Amino acid sequence: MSAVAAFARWPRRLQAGAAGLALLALVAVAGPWFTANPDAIVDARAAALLPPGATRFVLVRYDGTTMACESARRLGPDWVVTRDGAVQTVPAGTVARAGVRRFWLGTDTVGRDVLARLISGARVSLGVGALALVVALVLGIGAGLLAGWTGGVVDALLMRFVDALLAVPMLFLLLFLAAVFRPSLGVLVLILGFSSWMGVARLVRGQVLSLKEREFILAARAIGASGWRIAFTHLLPNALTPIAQDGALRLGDLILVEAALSYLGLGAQPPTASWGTMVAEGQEVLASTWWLTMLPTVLIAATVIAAALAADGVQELARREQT
Amino acid sequence: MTARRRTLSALLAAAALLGSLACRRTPVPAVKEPTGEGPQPGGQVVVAALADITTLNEYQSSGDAGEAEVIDLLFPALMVEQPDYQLHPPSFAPRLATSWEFSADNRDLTFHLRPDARWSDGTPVTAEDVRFTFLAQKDPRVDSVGMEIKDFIKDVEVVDPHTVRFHFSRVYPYQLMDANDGHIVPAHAWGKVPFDKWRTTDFEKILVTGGPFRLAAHIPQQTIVLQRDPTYWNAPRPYLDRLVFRILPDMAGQLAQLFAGDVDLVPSVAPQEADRVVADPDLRLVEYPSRLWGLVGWNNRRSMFADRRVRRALSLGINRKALVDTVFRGHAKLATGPVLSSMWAFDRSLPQLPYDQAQAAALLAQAGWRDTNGDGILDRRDRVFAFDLLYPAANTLRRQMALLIQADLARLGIKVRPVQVEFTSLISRAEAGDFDAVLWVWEEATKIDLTSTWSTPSPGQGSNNFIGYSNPEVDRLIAVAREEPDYTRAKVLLDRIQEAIVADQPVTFLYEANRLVATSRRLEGADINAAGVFFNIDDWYWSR
Repeated sequence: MSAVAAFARWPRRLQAGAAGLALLALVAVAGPWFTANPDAIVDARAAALLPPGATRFVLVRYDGTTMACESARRLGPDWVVTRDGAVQTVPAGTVARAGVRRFWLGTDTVGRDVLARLISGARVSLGVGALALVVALVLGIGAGLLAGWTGGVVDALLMRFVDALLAVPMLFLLLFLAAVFRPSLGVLVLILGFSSWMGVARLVRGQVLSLKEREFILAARAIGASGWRIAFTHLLPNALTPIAQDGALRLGDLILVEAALSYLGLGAQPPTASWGTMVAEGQEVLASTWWLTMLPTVLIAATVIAAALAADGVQELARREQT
Repeated sequence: MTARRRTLSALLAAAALLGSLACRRTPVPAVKEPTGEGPQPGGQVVVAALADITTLNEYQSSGDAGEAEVIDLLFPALMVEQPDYQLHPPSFAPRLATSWEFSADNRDLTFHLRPDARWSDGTPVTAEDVRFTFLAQKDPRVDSVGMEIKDFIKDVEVVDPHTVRFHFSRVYPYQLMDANDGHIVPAHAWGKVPFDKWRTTDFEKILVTGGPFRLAAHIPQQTIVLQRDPTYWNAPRPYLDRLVFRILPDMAGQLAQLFAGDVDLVPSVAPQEADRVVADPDLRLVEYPSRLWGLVGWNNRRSMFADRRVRRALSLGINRKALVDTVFRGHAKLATGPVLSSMWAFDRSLPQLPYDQAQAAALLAQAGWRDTNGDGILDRRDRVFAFDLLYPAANTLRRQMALLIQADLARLGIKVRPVQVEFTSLISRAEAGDFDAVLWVWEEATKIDLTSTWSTPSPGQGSNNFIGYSNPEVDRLIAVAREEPDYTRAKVLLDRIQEAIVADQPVTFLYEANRLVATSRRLEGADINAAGVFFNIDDWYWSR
């Protein structure tokens, strides 16, 4: 059965969710190669808060500064430009490059390209979410297998520890951790991962407890298979569906929490763009340039919805295959 | 009064434009009485407030600017400081005191109180209240903010019920200002509470006021309603029946209510919103220089910033003019030095540092900072020129400034990492000296005393010199200037101090912010100025 045929047999939700996540991932991975530098301030004064689709004549000068002009004309040894409503001349000898640039989604409060920032923000938001999910899965699966398979005191201790962690209000714990550690993307991944493995651990433990009494596991034990072998060749593959479903939902959660922490200034640090920081920055000028807040918000929502659809779809697929 | 103390209040507000001294002028006789065409009595003004008040006892207050404004509407003060500090040290107009005079040796200052002033319970305001207030101000158990202001006042003597005399231990330039500092509180009502209970007493329960308004209602975190006091000595003023403070903690919400007509006055509008206010035909925007100014504080104790050539290079390398114009959109001025350009003592011959990256690069090279390994970042003896620039979290303007400074200094090969820090931990890190560089705001007092910010901190004494600046010559000049009673002679010394500090560039002077106040266009008679939004509240009225 080809991959295309397999995709065609998937439930609609899974198709939509997986396609959405794949598209976002593609944009996050490949997009930044095709856009301008997302952190470059084009012209803080003359190119701040431009509306979507605006074009400016941009002069790049040898000292590294750029000027965004409404119009520019070469007149002998000078450029005569209109910048921020005022006419001024710029010696051509100071200008390295000149050209027209279109800002498809406008610019932000300090004159940076919003499209470029949304795309590089996708890399940060999805990347942090995905890596944090990997951390959570590794920890959660490990702890779940250990607790479920070993049982007894180890199980009791591990699960009480998980209960204790689950009882802590997560956002406050995250705020605390983010305040203690110097904010950076690596720290963010670890904080998010270490704070969300408990659900995975419980899920995996539950699966292991129900699976370990089944005949095929007893058979494997009877022929002397090692614990590790049983765990990775028999238990884990059979628990994959619930883990995948949980993982998809969790990915959406993690991206939301990343956005929340970045919104509060504890995630991605300036000038790095993440969707959460973009929401926070756009909010300052919500009344006049609402799209600065709306665009990253829509992307966050779309990602979470795609993840939720995929999770639903996985469950549906599993149900269908059981019958 | 808050005007006297340097505070950090501005850092608290997103728009960085809080804080003021709130004073009131005595009536201008030229204003017509409310008959015929003149001011019409009645009506209420709804004022947006960022935060609720925590106390109405000034000597319990932490000095929050919004709280100080409400207190000023409820309690009498001896005099009203005038907004004329551009020309000379501020002068004073009568308020509770109708006149005052110094003794021949300038050590005694006698105030004559108006005989018709009454507390809200009908008791006359007397010299006993003035003396009681002084005792509260000086008492270590009360431990009020700014109690050191009264350090050189030995005693306050009740001469007769309407005459009170201040005895000074020394003669110095700010005797009137220091005598006037703080509002008079009711001895007959609050004297029943022993001073050691003042920090824990709820004075709203035993509230007796003596201003143009009295407290009618206070719903915590919602509204404060002030009602016209009919026994006020300046009757028929105030013309307004009520002042309603509506607590709206976010600036966007304040403006939304202003545009909807639910709020009549927003005391502090963010510069990026100014155009929208101007464009609204129902609103008026009042703009004047505030005493807030912003800076980049370099930690002078760290080896990276210890060399003044390096600090000068940093100032030269930041396009400060573009930064101020961009962030404040024309609602701030480029700052020059440690004295505000709106003050009498400002040295107008001070040179303004230009934006000059070439000169900056040359100075850095002289100080040993070169890019020896070609990675685009300057280095010196295996250390790279990279540092953290702290700024308060959730502060729009300062985030923009941090990004612009980062971009400017990157072109010099200096790596700036903007780090946002939660407000209270920013303060404690600054005080502990645990920072490289910080975006900071001071609110300057109308009294010019450079000691606390620019003198070398002496152990055991409170200091605002958290950047660790130390220049013995500046220390000496400041000590002499603060004792000089003749302000024209003090000016000469102050000019020399300003020159020395600007040459040292212990900080990069960024901006002097304007205050933007939005009011309904129908509100008449309001003279909103640098002495306070409610400066002449007595004369406000609604046009028909």
